[in-house]
Amino acid sequence: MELPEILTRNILFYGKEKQEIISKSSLLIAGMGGLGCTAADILVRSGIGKLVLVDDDIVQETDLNRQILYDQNDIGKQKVQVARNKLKAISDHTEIISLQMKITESNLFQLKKYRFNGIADCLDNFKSRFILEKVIQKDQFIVHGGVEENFGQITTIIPDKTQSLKEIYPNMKGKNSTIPIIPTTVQTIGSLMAQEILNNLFRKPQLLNKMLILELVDFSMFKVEIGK
Amino acid sequence: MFLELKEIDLELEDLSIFELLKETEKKTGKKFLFKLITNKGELKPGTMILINGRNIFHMQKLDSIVSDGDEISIFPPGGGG
Repeated sequence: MELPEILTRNILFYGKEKQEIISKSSLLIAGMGGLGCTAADILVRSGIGKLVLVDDDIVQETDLNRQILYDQNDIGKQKVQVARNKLKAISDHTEIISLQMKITESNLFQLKKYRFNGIADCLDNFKSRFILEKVIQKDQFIVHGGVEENFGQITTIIPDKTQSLKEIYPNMKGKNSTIPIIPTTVQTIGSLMAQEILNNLFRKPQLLNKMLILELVDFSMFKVEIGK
Repeated sequence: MFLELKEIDLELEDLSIFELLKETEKKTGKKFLFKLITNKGELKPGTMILINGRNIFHMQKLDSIVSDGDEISIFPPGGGG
């Protein structure tokens, strides 16, 4: 497999075999807000083969504090289209499909048309997350991330190997209208999500039945066992 | 985050998680139960309390028994993306 020069430094670290695993892999990113932008940016720079970007939103000025693929010229445009163009400008190596759609029970079938190794859950509410996880098959994974204020969490979900998101979060409230959030939280959790996605692609997830919790207030990071 | 503490060790007999949390309030001198539990004594939506990695919502909720050596985790999950 011929690999582009942008991946030279990655290959020096990963080796050609692992880089080819990344380059043959595909991922669905659900939610192209703060976490989705950061994870997508890193995965393209990591040389992932294909990304399917899903979001129904448009870029607003209030997004620009943390959603790194958008700028002032993009306000009012569809996030998935802008993100696709920005990511393609970084590298043509990654095939990018953009789906302008909301994740609901009734249109979940549209996601099933695409082949992907796993899903990045970068959504901004638990109701949509519980719908999203119905899409995954036994051989797929979800890397879930959530952020708020200056803290956040990440875990890997695999059918039959871990609890589902609905089981982990049985008692969640509805969407908060405006969640306080700062750029450092989003970039840190988004970056760590991208690393755990790569870990899953290498079949070595580090957050299986564990939740990584990050608190930026004192830079503390700890793993909580969340049992099967 | 509620207590500004990472860990706290308590030596107590078997008791419910509700009683344990009340004891923790006493020991730390920090009131935090009102953030987790309603006036009616029910878990507030969004409350994450785990005993050995299992959400108490799947057990006997606030009546779930805590024994020697059990690990309790309490944290507010981030909902945003």
